[in-house]
Amino acid sequence: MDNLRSDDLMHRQALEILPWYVQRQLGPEESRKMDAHLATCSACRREAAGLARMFNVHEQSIPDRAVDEKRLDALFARIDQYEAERPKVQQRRATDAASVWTRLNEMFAGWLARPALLAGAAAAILAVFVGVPMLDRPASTTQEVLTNAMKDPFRVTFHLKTGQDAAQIEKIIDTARAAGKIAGNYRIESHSTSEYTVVFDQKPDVAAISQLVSEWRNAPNVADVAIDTGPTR
Amino acid sequence: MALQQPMTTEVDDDLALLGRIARQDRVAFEKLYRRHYRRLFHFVTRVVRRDDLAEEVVGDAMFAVWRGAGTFEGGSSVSTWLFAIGYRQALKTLDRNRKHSVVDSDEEALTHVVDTDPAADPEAAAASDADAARLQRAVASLGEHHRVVVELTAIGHSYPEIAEIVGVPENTVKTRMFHARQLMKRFLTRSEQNKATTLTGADSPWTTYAQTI
Repeated sequence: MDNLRSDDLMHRQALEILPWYVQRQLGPEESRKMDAHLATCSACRREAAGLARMFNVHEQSIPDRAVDEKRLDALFARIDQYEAERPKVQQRRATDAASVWTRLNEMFAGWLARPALLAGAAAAILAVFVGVPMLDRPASTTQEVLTNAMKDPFRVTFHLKTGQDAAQIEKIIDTARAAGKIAGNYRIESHSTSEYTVVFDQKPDVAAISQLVSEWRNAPNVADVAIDTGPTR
Repeated sequence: MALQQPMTTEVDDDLALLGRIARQDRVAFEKLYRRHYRRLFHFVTRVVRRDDLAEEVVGDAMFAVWRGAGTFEGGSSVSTWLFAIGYRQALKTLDRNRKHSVVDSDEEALTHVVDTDPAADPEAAAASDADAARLQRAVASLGEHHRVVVELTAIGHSYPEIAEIVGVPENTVKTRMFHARQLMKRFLTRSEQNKATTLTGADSPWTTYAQTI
């Protein structure tokens, strides 16, 4: 006799997970419940048989496809390029992080080597407590940012809103290039699905880039734009 | 079943390979690539519906694997993680190409799928090939959300894995699969009615499956 309910599994629930039962992708507990339900439900047994045949035909319809060796070679070339550039990026980040401490160490070493400077220690400590937060925070004016950033290559980091990708940045940059506000070539480095750094091979005009960054920050798909202000490149 | 999930030893091996990839082992990377290529390519093709785009997506996904191997936390299988990456890359590619009108509509994509299938020629196709072609039509007739769940189930992913790959709750996966089956049955029933005298005959898998409504 067909029951709409088995011991502890509703027929509808059984119907929902039936495809994964057929594909042997249920856990032991769900499989046990399905076994019990199918023993009393001919409708689900028919459905299971149909699904099994469907999956079988589906599998047979998938053609064998060999790996495209040229594409694999191209992928390895891409990896080689990435690995060649990675140490530079890591070194720059490490240098950025270490620079504050390096400056402090040099400062204290100088004082110890020349006791005469100890007289100024109190003032220096005060300066450190004020200066360190200043070093960590973004430069306070556009001019400071640009002074730090106008090194070669010039880098701008974009934080995009959810669902956007590098194509959005290409569009923004290409628009600026078409308007003559940026010259030369550029490449885009992806750090995550939302963070990209654009590396320009030519230094931009200070006034132009200042205006452009303001415009880019207000672009509809952009969450934020930051000029890369690392002290060393 | 050729496309079923890797065996347990392979799952363990995937994890070992990923550990080696995190240490920049190219041999391990190539092994992982070759092991998952066919299933990943097939799945991605069903999302972007073009072989050339699917190749790009597979390349992008595997590049992401190389870059992110060291960040894998083991919360899922490597295969699930890989397919999740592939799915996200496929959606990005699909979105980018839709903007450029590469694939204008589902109808056009369906035509593409059917027209490129050699089994679409009834003169040359055996009955099983015709069944496969009709299955392709039925699956291709589904919307993207339903189609992805069907494809991932067919190649051997559990519903919790599919939930993780697609990024939706498990109950949503079950519901999408349930509705996809109803839609496919309707499609196949119409197909059977329209082609009552075709090669497959009354005992085709699709007749059987459609009759389980």
